[in-house]
Amino acid sequence: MKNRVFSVFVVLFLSVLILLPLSITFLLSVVPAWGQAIPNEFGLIWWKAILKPAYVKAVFNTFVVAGLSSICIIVYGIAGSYLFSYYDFIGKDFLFSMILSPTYVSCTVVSLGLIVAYVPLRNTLGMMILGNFVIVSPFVMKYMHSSMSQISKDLIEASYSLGSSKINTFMKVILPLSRHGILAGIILSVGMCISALSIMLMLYNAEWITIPIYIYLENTTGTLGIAGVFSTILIVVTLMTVYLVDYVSEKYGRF
Amino acid sequence: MEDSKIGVKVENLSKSFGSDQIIKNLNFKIMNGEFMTLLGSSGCGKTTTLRLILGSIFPDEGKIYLDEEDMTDIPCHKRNVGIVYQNYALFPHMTAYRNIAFGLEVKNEKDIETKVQNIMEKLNILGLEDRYPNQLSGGQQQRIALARTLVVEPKVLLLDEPLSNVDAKLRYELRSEIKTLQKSTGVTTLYVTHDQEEALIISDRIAIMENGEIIEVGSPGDLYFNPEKEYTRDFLEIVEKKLENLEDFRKKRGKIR
Repeated sequence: MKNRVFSVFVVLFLSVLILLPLSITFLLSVVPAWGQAIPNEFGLIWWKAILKPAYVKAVFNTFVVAGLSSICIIVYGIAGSYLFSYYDFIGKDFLFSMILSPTYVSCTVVSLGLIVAYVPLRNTLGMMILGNFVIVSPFVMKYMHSSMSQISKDLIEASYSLGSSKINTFMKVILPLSRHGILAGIILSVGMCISALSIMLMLYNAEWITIPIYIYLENTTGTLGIAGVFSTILIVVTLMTVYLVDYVSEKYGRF
Repeated sequence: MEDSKIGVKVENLSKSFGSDQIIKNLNFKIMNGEFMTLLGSSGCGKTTTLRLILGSIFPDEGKIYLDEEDMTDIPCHKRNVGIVYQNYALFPHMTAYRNIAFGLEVKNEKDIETKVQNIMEKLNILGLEDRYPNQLSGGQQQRIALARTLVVEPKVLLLDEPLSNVDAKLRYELRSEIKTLQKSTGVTTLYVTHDQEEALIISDRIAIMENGEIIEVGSPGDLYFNPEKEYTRDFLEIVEKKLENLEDFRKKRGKIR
């Protein structure tokens, strides 16, 4: 009985520990001025404030940067997964592990490397897209590759033997059969690019400030209400992304 | 059979994977319309030989001729060689109809619907058009796989242990159907199996394989009654143990023919 009570207590404590920051983020967005420990006034002034052009532009920028980055990431992810799943070449395993290596390295380190390696792109939209590409594409590639490489080689051979070319086999057999991995990769890519902060902070251009950067900047100036609104938007987008990944994997992951 | 053209000719074929030589200087011919079986224990190189003829892998040395045309360097999708796998390899995202029509659609054939209906009728699978592979039994899946391969009228039909995944009763039925279909379509067929009894019953000729080489080729009767090689005698001996006597063997073979 004692053990049971202790377990419940630990679970509750951990839940509060994890959920408290998220809940307070939402509270920040609906409390006009947080002067005392427990707020006594609620309102939507911060939600109305984000309709100002500068904030709307941040939202627009976020989706442009995330959209353009995701297009590059998805094309690369599909092409790379196909290459690593169906072709054999010397150094394949080594190259694959190298491509995945940014997943194990800090975003800050990768950003620093990008700034030094691609000087002409410094502080441009191109650099922001490249940053997202380098950080996010390995995760997307992992998803897509694991899905594509599970397709039985016999199915591919059967398609060829029926007169289907490589392109036709890719379009009619490989893509449909790996669609759950590809869809999950697309959703993951959009979700990660929208909420990327650490890499964007190192690489951003003043014309292309995104929501996560705004949250950070607002936080440093003490304007927590706007930061709360943007954070809530990001939490909702992230939760929707996670839900969509699960839904897509569940729905299309089985035949 | 002696006067007919050669359907498949394999000349000095060799294939290695890394340092392992799987196929060693392989030579054999299959006459047009003939049903030949590659018989050997697991890992002897039967499936590799099949995949070399299919064109999904290429030999290190040697030549492959189909209808007396050199196909050694021709890719799989241009060879018109059909294959039926042990695991059926049906496209899981397509219905039975779409699976069968796949090859015809790829080739932009006319009267696809009629051709699909005809082959489905021949294989007694009408009514399964809208079912997905996971809604079909093993036997039904194997029939769909056969229909999908035969509907495009391949030059050569390759069968890679197609009856290994079905129960004994169904195996007997399908064995008979395969033989009947092969006779009626006249398609040159290479059958791969490790089942001695199956090979003796279904084949026109059998090639015994061991360690990437063909040990002996002959008709089922020749190999069964007068094997030249010790290995063939030992390998086929098990059939006598399975069947009570030679009369049983003749009866089984008679039913198929």
